[in-house]
Amino acid sequence: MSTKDFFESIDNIVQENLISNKDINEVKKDGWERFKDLGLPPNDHTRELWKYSNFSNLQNIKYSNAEYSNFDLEGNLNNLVDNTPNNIFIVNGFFDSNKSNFTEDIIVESSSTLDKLDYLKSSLGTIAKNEENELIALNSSIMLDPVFISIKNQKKENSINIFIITTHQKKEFSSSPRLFIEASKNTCSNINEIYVDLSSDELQNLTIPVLEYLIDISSEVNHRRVQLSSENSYFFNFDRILQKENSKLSSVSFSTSGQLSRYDIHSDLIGINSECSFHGLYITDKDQHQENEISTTHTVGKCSSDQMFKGILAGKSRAVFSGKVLVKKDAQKTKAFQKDLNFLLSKDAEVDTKPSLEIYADDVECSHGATAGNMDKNMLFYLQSRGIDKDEATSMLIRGFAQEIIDEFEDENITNALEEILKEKINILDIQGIM
Amino acid sequence: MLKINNLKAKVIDNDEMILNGIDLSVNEGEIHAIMGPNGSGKSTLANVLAGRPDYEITDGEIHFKSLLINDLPPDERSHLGMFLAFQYPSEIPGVRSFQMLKSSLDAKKEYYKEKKLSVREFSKLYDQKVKDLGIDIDLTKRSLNFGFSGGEKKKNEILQLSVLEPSLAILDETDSGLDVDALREVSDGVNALKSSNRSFIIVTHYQRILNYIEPDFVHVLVDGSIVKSGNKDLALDIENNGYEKIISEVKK
Repeated sequence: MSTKDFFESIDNIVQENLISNKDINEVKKDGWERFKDLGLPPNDHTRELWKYSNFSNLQNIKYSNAEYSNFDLEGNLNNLVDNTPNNIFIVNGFFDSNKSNFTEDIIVESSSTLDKLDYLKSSLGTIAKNEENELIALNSSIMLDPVFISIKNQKKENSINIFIITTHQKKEFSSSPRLFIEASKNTCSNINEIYVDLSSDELQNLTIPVLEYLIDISSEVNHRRVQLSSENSYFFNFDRILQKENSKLSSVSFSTSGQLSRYDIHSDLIGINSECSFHGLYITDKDQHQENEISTTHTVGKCSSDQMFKGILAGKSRAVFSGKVLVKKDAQKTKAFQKDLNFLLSKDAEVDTKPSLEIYADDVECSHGATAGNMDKNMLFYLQSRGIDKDEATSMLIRGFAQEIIDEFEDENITNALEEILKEKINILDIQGIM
Repeated sequence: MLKINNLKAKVIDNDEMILNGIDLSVNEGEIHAIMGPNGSGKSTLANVLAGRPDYEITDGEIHFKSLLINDLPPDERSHLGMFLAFQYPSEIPGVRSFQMLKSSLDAKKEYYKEKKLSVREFSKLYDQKVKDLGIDIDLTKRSLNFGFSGGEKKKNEILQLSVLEPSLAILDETDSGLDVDALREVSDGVNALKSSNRSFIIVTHYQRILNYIEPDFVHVLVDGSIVKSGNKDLALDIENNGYEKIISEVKK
């Protein structure tokens, strides 16, 4: 295989999946023109943004669209479905209107059924712009059926579950979920975004979700994301958020890494008194590579932002945390906090942490910090002396490190599921050679 | 219960010997106090008994319940009935006291192939012990030892002791950092756990705690050896005259 195969396979996907809505198809065409021009990010360290990522393997893979097959959600995920009247299913890139159900408090339409949300079509691509980078352009190129969600009159107790599902696949596929979510004025909502990949671990699938959030005046969004990548996959997630005055976004995420993963979040605080927080936990192993690029721009005053990411790194894996806060000249009374905490479980695991604050206002309260620590032998002995064997004590300490983030998911169906997933994951992590 | 013969130990990767041939026998139901000046090896002895991996036994034997335990990992020593109350209990983020103790007890039951307690059964047991020891219930909801005061940490050690019901409890400077009230509370907790088949080794600098927990035997440790043994009067003698007198007697 060669780079040519990758491009040809993507070209096929683009040509075979034109979007019926003309305006949206324009975004797609524009994305493809740009991507053809730019290609995958170069692996030559010339650009800070992709400095640590190596796309050379990805170029050798031939992708196709995922093929539909029946699927079932298991255990805790099913409970999650039962707990709310709002369940939105996006299956293999298409909005599944048969499986989805929701109350009149929200409107959900996809590119092929745009009606009440027709006014949003021209907003697609304005918060996450094709010109920003090649992978957003790639998402636009191969998106199949962008989904628009407008939260009109939401009550907090009814969570909105968004399941982004890939059914069982036999060969490498690309998936490019695209969502535009509008939280209307004075609404308050809990959004659970759950990625379920039912294909096998060996496949080097490519998933590039792009989400555009427009959070209107005085609205509040509690966003929780669970993303379980299969081991060898490529996963690049872009959240682009625009927040108006008095709005509030709290986002917490849990992810297990694929071969190469990127969590790329940017929020623009353009209205005073708005707040955003991004917390996350990720786990890497073997020779996986995960990047977390979290940035917030404070354009106006009296806003706050908060970033806290925790990494659990095993094997020869590598992670990068790049937290950026830009405080513009007029953004007085800004509060901004950044924290990156890492638990290194093997001698060969490595984290590069680059918290940065760029401040042009003079009346601000900002702080940043980063740590990278190993297993604490005193804690380990303490637990062992209480009859807990070394493996279980090790697992307990790793889970303890993660607990703070897991607790933020609040919903018991999710926290229970995550605790189970983490426990199983720890059992197979390569943590040899730390003690 | 416990029989130590000519125990010699050092820190791994360091040639300096810390324990230089200790002999000690502890029978069922006995309370032994081990006293000594700073750096005499008291805490090392406590940790070597519990199996801390930082130490290496270079000679001698530790028999616990007639088993040679020199090479047993700490968790198995715990299952056999040994308990170390730490001088500085670790703060463990994200792990709650309840969860840790449930795992401890589960592991022990599994070791003896007994039926584990259900969460409800354990909860009942745990809540009762927390109440008996007068521990603030809010503390048990926090991460283990996180943000606990010195007294709260030590009380929490006694809570673990009372749940795990060991046959030998080693208290490593449990009195350090406690004010008078906390010392009395902790001592009351220990006294409530005294029984004819449970033994204690109390490691301490000061005689103070022995006013509350009365020892059957007192041993003085100097430079990694027990240089003098006696009854509780020996502790009073140390309180009045310091360790200097004993050390100079030994050196004669």
